[in-house]
Amino acid sequence: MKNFYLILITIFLSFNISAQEMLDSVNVIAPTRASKSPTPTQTLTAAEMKNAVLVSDAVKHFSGVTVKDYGGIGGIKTVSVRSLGSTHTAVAIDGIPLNDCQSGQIDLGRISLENVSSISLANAQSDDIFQPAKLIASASLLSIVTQKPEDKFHLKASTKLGSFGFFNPALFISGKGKKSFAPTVAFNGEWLSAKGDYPYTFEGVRNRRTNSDVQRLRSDVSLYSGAFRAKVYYYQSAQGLPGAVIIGNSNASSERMSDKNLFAQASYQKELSPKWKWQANGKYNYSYFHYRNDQDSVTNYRQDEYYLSAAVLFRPVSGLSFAFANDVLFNKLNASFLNPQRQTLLTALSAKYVNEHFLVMGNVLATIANENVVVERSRNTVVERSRNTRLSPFISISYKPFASQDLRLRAFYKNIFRLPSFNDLYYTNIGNADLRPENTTQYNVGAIYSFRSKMQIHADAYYNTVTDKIIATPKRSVFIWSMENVGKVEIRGLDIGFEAAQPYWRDKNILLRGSYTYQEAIDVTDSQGKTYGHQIAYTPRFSGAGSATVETAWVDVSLSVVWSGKRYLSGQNIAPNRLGGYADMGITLSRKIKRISLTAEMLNVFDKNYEIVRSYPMAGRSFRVGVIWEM
Amino acid sequence: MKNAYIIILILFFAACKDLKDYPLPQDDINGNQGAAGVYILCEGLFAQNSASLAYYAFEEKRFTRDIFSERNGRKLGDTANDMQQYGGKIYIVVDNSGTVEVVDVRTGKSVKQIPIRNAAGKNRHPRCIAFHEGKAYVACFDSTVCQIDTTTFEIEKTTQAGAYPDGICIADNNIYTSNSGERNGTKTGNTVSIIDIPSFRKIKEIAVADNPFKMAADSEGDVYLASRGSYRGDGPYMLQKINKQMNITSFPNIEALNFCIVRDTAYIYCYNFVTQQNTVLTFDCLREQVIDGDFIKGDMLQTPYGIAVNTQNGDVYIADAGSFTATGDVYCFDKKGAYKFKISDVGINPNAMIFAYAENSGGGNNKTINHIAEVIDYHPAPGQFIGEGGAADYAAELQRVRDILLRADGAGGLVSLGAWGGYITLGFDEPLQRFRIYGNAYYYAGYENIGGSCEPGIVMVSENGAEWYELRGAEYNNPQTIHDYEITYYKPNPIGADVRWTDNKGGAGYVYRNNYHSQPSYYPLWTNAETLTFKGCRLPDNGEQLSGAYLLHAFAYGYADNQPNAESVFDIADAVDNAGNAVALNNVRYLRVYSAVNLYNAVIGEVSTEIGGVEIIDN
Repeated sequence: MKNFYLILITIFLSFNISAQEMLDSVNVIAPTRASKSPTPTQTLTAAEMKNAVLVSDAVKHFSGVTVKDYGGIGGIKTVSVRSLGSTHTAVAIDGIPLNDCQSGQIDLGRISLENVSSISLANAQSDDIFQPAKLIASASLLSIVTQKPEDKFHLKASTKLGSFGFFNPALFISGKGKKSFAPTVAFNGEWLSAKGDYPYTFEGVRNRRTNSDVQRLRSDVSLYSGAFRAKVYYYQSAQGLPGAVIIGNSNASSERMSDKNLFAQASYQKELSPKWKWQANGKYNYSYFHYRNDQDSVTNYRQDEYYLSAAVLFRPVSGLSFAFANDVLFNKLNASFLNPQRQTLLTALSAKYVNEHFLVMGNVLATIANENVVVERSRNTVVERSRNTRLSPFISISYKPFASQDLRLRAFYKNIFRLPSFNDLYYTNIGNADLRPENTTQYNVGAIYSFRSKMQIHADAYYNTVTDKIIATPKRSVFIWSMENVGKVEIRGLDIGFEAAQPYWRDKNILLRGSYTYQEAIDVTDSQGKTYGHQIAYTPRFSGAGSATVETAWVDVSLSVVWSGKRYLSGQNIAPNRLGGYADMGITLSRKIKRISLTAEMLNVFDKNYEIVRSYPMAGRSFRVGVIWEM
Repeated sequence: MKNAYIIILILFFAACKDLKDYPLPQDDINGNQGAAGVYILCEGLFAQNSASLAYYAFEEKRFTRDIFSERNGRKLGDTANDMQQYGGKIYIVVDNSGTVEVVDVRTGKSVKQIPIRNAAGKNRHPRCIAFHEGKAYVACFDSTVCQIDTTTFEIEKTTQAGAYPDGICIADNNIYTSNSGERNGTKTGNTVSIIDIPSFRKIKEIAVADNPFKMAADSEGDVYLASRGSYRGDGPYMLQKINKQMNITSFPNIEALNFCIVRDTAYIYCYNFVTQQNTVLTFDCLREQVIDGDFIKGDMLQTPYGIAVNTQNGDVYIADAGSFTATGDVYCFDKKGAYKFKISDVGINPNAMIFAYAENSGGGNNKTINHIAEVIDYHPAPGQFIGEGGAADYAAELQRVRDILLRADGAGGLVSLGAWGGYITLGFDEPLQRFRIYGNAYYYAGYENIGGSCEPGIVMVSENGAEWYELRGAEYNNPQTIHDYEITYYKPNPIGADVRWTDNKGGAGYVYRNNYHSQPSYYPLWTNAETLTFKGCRLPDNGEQLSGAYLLHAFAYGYADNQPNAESVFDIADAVDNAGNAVALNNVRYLRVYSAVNLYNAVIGEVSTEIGGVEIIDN
């Protein structure tokens, strides 16, 4: 049995494992040895995500996660980890961060799982110290790892068809030139279109969503050559924005949105000696966003990002390592409202010590962010500059108390912040240039236990605080709400997850997986306020997910459920604001016949009507079938 | 392995305490609040479908947080922006749902949901509503005003106004809409559009302060306007007046965000979003000066969001939106601005209130208590009810009137004052401050608020029975009101003939006999005088011939037998001297009422004020 976490790290950092070995690994669905990681890290592999199309579908299965989903393929889907808020989770593709300085968050509904080999969520950060500083500069990290190309010619063609006009063909080709120095190259292309006009019942009225169509094109080319790898990625989408369902005036929106995203990233890594290793990463990102509203008023944004990172790893003695990473980011937004620029320098100094029983890891991150924006001040053009500098500590430990038992105890502390987004700072009228960063502090204690690699359970209790939370408040007029550093949240929670695999007939297994989340996320902003002591908006006290797969000689049957307790649509926990709990169940049948894999899915089996976000009903029962042909 | 499952279960149930709704309070408010209850409209938050209508029933001490859903089995919708009453109906304007809900004030039930859509079926985004002669006018963010018939509830026509109208009022046959400017915060408007009602076309656009919002008119036809200033929230929050000649007067010393006008007093509040300070003041719209610049003392209010006055007792209700995201409260202050009570957590962003009065249904002329201590004199003008008692002399007639008006239960019936000028003088054991005069005015169904049988009489007060002061009513400054009117009635010969009159303005006419009243004479026979002369103020004619009915309009306020008893409330604060100057009185013991409209029509005869009793509300 392979160690998944090890594999994950390997995919990031090392290119010595053969492609064949990789492929075998990702097809195994089973618990593994208890991870040494002092920070809880949950992983899903491609085989476990057969019933998911988007990254947001998959992350719902992690504990500690609250997904905010506006419904449908086109609806925004963001993830808040441990109630810290969606702007506190960094997202990386193949070890290089995705960034959106404008909104400060990534829409996980726009990242397809096609060609993804695994996704993992680490609280605080991963247990690797040899990585870009940006990846430790947030309160949690969602890593998306794409399928590694193979030297041997590999072709995979697939298509999915589903309810409400869902059509998703994809093609993956990889191979290596004949010359020994020729790089391994992979091409991946995907088209996704959906009409998304699902029926729903809202406030007693049955209706269908309109203006919910989505068209997306994604293609990327990856290149691997020894310690060098590069990726060019292009994404283009056009979609309707169906908007909230309004009583008496549902489906009135004709707003449209389209965007383009192009990035090119490269990394190089070299072991200089057994003691010294270094790596370099670079990225250029271009994104363009176009919005047209009902009155044909048009808004365009362009964002440019230049990113460079270098890191050195030093291992003076066995088990002890130090790393130094330095990242430089340059972000530029061109928008009708303003054209702010931000330069961020991130410097991280990390240390890690591992022996048979202990793993101790810590770092200090220094952030210097300079910003400038050109503004009109009484008919003069002035460049306004501002600077944020912070030192952010992180310390963690994991301990294996018994030699005979695969049990690990773990704990971490992390203090980190997020910079206000460009929208928070500068958006017309809403923006407030005086904003301070939003701070988070996390304390975690937990344990992970693995029983003969057949069953694994992990449980972590945590206490978090968010201070200087950036919240929109009507400080200027009732119509225009501006951003203020006014919120304070105290979070106490418990994450539990387990996985089990039990062979029941020859090589056939029953596989179980479950996650459970308990969150007390309490608003402690103003003791005189009406929301003091209440659970923050859209955060259930209980939520969870589970899946069960039964492998048979004919077909593999997989059942999955995502459930949530009641929530409140605002920070005031009163009956009129209550949103009921829900359970959304799906069934997937899959079968592999030689080169062809077939899947058939039924989503929301019980046709439950529910809302995750108020006024955005989710789809009822729907169907999807898929076919993959590989050679 | 078994142990591991047990651990999972233990952990699972370790913290099983699901979220619980925080209970909302039921406030215990004294049942006697001069109204059966108060409706409170809560705007809700955009795209959350959280608009609601709350109702506090004072007598039952019961608060219903969403009476609309309770009574109608469905939600009100999204962003309920305005609520106004017309007759027995409440009209709720629901902006983002694109509807106007017509709700029966007695039951809370929706009688009609009127969709406000353009030809393409798109929401016009209705914002605010005003009424005029049986029609409702709804201003919409798509720069239009829709005319809705209040009997059929059909949209009859639509006309162009200005951009993003956010206030509407009607004065002098014109609709005024305030053009607030775009909602995305880029452009503020600064104009008011004026629409001529007969042609239903925009006739004028006049420049006002930035971001104009709420509008209301006083009884003189002056339109007041509050403007919110820039989108930065730092104002200026302006109060302006547009007179009939469309001239604009600014009141730079008054900060106004929102207001209401009741009996020519404007109750104005301001919340400055930048300083986060609020002020509430009262303003006399006729004298155009501040009455009390610090009407509500203390810092009880956080973010006032709506204001209304209970006309029965003068209580001022202010809706407080609080943080704008959590439930707001409604505070009640008495007419002097002293805190009375609070209705907590009414809903999100409460912005309008309407009072349900016990007698609001039907004619509403119940009376249960009468405080008249003495009928000092009774000098009616000729009329169809005069002499019906058959009294032989004045003493007998006075006794007949006393028998009617001195009953403590107010159940004695009515006394007619005859045609213009006839009067009665009443005495009281306790000083009067605010009081109700019983009459028999009522509104015709379907034309409810316009009028019906309304026979206005002017009310005068006195501390000593010698120096009299008129209570200034809504028509006081109307140019058609004749303040130095004098009339003489001539004893008919034979006594059963029509009664002739002449006035000091060259007019002449008759009080005609009719078939319904067959007493020997319509002229008061107990007087031996050959002529009867009365002096006073003649109000404008208030009659209108409708097909099949003759309708007598109600004036806005301030006259006896002019409105149903529920609304027929007077305050000695309205007392003025002959020059029209306010007079401060504190020991009013005498009341005089005289018929104040000189109008005859064939269907219902002469307009004559009737009196059934007086109830002291405050003293």
